[in-house]
Amino acid sequence: MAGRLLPLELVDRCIGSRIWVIMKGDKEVVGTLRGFDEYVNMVLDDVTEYTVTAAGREKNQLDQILLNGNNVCIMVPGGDPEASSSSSSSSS
Amino acid sequence: MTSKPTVLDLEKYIDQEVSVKFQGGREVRGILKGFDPLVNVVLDECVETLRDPNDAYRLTDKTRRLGLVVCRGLQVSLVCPNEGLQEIENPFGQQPQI
Amino acid sequence: MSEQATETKKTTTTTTTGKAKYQPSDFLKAVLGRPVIVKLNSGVSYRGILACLDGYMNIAMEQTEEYDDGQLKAKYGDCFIRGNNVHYISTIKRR
Repeated sequence: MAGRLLPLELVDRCIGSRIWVIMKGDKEVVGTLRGFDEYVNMVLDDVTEYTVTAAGREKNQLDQILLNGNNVCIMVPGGDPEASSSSSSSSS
Repeated sequence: MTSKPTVLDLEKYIDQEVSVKFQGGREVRGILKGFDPLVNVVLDECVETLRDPNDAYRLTDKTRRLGLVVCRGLQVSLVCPNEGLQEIENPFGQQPQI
Repeated sequence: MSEQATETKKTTTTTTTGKAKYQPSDFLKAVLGRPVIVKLNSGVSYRGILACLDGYMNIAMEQTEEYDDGQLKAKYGDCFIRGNNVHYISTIKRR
C-alpha cells in the first residue's frame, strides 16, 4: 500500500515551477523544472548552482541543464536556499 | 489483488514526525505525508540539521527550514519515528583518535 | 551530426496534470551535435560538441576543453566520459 501523497506525483505537480534540489555532496541546484524521468534525472531552466564549502557559498548561473538524478537527496518545490535561513536552536 | 506485506511499512507513521538519514551524511526530520515502494518519502515542515563544514558526518546544532520536501529513495538510508527516540551516552566512552 | 537542425524543435508530451513536459530524452535529442558543458561530480567541467551519448549518460565529445576551477587545463580532439561521473549536462547560450 502506498502512502497518501505519492512523492513522484508531487514532483510532477512541480513541473513549470521553481524547484530546489539538494544533492548528496555539497552541491545544490535551483531552477524551473521542465520535466523528469523514472530515475528523476531532471531538465531545469534558468539554473543557479550552489557549491557550499567551509569558505562560503559559490554560485554559478546556467541556461538549461539535464541534472543527473543519481546523487539527488532532497527536492524542495518552490524552495530557495537564499530564503531559507538557518538557526542554531535545535530544541523543538 | 493482495500485496505481500512489506518490511518497510511506513503507513503507521503517516502524520507523525520522522527522521530521515541519507547516504553521504545528510539528516532531516519532518512530518511524514507519503511514500512509495522505492522509499521516496514526502515530508512536511521539514528541517535539515546542518553539518560541520569540515566534516560531512558531524552534525551541528544548526538547522534550516526546508518546508514540504521529497526525499529521494535511492539515497535514503534510514527512516525512523521520532516518538520514543532518545539519545544515549556513547557506550564506548572516548572515541579513539584515528 | 549535420542533421541537428531537424532535431532542435522541442518535442513535448503532456503530464497527468495537463502541463507540457520536456523530458530528459527530449533534452538529449535537442542538444546532440551542439556545444555543451558537462560537469562531473568532482567539479571538473568539459566544454565541447556533444557527439554521442547513451542511456547511462556515457558521453562522447569533440573539440573538448577541460576546465578545473574555471581554469583551462587541457584540450582534447575527442573525449569519452563515463556516465556515472556526470553531475549535469548544460546547454551553452550563444556561439
